Amino acid sequence: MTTSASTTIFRVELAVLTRRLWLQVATVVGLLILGIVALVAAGQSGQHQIDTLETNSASLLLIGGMAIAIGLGGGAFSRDASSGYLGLLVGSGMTPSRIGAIRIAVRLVALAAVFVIWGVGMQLVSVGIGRGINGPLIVHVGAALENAGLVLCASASLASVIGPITAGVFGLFVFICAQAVVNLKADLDQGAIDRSSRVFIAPVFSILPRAIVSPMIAALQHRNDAGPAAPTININGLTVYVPASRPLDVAWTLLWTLIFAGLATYGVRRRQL
Amino acid sequence: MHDGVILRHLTVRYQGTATPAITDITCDAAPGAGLCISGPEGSGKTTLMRAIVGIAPPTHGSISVLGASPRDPQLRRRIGYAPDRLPFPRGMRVLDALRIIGAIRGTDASITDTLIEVGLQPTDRRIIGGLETGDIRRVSLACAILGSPELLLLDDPWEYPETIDIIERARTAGTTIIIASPDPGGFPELVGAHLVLDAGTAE
Repeated sequence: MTTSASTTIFRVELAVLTRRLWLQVATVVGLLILGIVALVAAGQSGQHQIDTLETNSASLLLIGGMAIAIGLGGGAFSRDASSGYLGLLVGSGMTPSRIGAIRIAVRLVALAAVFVIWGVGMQLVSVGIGRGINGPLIVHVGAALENAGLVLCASASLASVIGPITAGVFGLFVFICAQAVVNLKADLDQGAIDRSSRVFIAPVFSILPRAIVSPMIAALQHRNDAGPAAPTININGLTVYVPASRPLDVAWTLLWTLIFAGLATYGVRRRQL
Repeated sequence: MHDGVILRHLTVRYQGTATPAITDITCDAAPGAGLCISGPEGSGKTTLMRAIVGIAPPTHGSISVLGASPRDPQLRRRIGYAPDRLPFPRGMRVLDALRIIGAIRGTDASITDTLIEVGLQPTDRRIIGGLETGDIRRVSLACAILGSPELLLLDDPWEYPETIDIIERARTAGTTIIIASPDPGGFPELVGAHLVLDAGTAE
């Protein structure tokens, strides 16, 4: 098997993926939402105008991005394995693990492409309302992409052995856990919960993947304007602000993403094709 | 020179199933000759083909394909396999399907010539999901014969004149041919041997 075979499959499968109607519709709907955000923001001024753009962009990336990641990850294997396509590729000389790796990579690239399209749309809105290029929003698109990539790979890791819906739910569950450990760590560090809880929180924070929080979301929280992407946490009357992720958090979650991608690849080796 | 395909007491049982899909199958298909496997729906024809191509591992018994184990990816590149239905994603184009198979097998054989050989347009860019059943069979056949493999496995091919020509030419070239069909028609005479399956066993 040659690199060119992998490249050919990658290129063709990416083209097939871009022809999926649901993915095209989701991408266009995201752009339409940004159009509405532009109209709303155009009628505002000052910090409020920037907050409108950033909050709604973050909401789109969280909700829309997660939905696409679940769709791509959960559907990574089941249909094409049942139809015999993956079996035909193996029967023609591919190894199952290489097929798994290519399909994960194709889906990650497709996910990144949607985020880039939306990200460009966000910057066009920013320029259009006279605010120029929004640097924090660029960083946030990257952070949201890492979170969505984690969800995609977590979904795909189960999609190689079970159905797409359950796999997608698992991917979402992984993200909820990742966000929960980050929130709990912030609660602990800011004294919102008893310090004796450290014995429980420290290990799970050390082990589990961590949702990536961009500096933009942290700043929006302080302005109490983060929307669904980072709602204000209020515990026992104390407001907790989730800090921006550190480089170690980014690397740790990337490692988990790779682990899930590896599990997905291993799962393809084990499943009936 | 290889020994074609040799199956000895082959049993395949899929994960999670109580009964084997095929049981204790013993047969040979020599180079330049072949075997037609027939039997009703669910008799194990497709499972036998999948075992030979290495995607349904044996529970018992042995398989030798072109002198090697079908689990070897290098060997599988020498096999042309046409499944009973075209399994490519619905959004894939005909040309791309052949490009993928050609790239995996490492062949530089002409895709356009192969498409003409099976009766399709040489630059067929149609989406597979929109093809009629007959054209799907032709694409499946094109994928199988691309690069002149040493072993041809055709699962439920249609008896087009092009199919008959391809099988006759492949036999002359020394290719081993195994055909599975619920309605064998003239295939047994064409390939020289006939195995009838019923409920996973040889009659």
